[in-house]
Amino acid sequence: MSQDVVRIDDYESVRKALYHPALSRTLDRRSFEEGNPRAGILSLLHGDEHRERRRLENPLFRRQALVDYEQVLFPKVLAEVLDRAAVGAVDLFDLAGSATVVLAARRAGVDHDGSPEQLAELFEHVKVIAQAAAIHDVVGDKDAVQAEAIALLHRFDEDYVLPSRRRREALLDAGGEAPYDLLTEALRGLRGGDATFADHALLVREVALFLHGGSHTSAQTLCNVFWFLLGLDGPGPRTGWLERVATSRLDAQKVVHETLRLVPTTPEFKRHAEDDAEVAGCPVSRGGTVALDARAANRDPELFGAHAGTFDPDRSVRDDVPLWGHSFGAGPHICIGRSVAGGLPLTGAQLRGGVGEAHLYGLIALMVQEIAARGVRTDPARPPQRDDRTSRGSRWLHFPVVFPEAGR
Amino acid sequence: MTARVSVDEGRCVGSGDCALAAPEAFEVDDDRALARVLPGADSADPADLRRAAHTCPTMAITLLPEG
Repeated sequence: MSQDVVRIDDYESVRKALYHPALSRTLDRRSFEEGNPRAGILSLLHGDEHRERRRLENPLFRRQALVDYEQVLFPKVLAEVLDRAAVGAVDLFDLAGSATVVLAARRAGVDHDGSPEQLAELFEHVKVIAQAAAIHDVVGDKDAVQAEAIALLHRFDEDYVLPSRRRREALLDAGGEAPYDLLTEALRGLRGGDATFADHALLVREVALFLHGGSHTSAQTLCNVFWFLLGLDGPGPRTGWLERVATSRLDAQKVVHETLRLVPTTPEFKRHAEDDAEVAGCPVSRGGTVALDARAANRDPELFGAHAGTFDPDRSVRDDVPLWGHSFGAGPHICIGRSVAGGLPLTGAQLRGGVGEAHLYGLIALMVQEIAARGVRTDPARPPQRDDRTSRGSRWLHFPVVFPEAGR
Repeated sequence: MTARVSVDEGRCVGSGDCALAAPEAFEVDDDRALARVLPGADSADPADLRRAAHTCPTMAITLLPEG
């Protein structure tokens, strides 16, 4: 078996590779097969199995759900979290996690009592799952990370998933209306003869994926946004942009998408060749690895301008290209929750011509807007601390900030 | 200019991206988890149609110029 690694870093070639049917995300048995914390989850499936799982789960992300999240549910959740916690010195990462985990839990089907303690506990669980989710980028003992995640999933099941499942089973038995979420839909499927989630342990892993995917990345991206807005990349606070995002949701979204472009959550997509193939003009042997450099592709000057490596949310972008570049991936494995987190893409044409009334801005933009409006500043006593347990370079361990003591 | 719009049901995974990009041209049938072309889609805003085709994660949408 070949051990080739083919590297691709230009935007169009990365896009073609992300659509290539011979490339899967199943990189090695050690990380992804039975007995590990990610076995069988949506993001690692391939081909027909992946297609069927997507068909099952995509309905959770329809327009009406997105509108409800963005216009009804999240503004209320965010206001509650910020009113309670956005005072004085706080960790922006945990603050954002406490807000995003509420909606992620709702979509996954994880019941909780809404207390700050339970939300914090759920987000601590998410942090452990996030380490295992990026296992190839772990710096240090990968087996220890896997073992910690497996132990966590057992506790998560006992404390949250099993009780949530029993409530839904009881509601379905009684003919009542169960919440619309992944867990309920999986149980409905089982009752209808779809055995996808007959293995409860797989269902726990899938619920954990939804909880992690719906909260951790958004909280990390929010920190990256304020890394730029507070000028921690060098120039000092970008006061003009802080004012603009506080008053314009579209500007807040542009800042989010520009940040995602420069700091993609997954800087490099790794793919496994299931067959001999030609990928963007390069021959790849069966069993070989293709490394797709999203960070480099997102800085392609042909598409994003001569100063593609700098932070400029007002930049001009080619008409058919989204400002966020490849940050959510593309093709069959594109991030299933991208419209929740980032709203609808802003293409070059929309950046010039404007967006319509049906446009969606995403939950991160809502957070950026509200947090900027509340006067967030850097904490002079505590600089942000990167998460050096991963080689991704896009993650924070802590992001201390300061809010005015008296609120707004 | 109008375009003839079609969805390849064998490829479609019901992501709903087409209905988000061009709600006047597409809707998703959740019973079948498939996108459906709406009547009048052929004369929808061409920019919306192109965006729908471009963002489809399985390249299930085809636009053919008419006339």
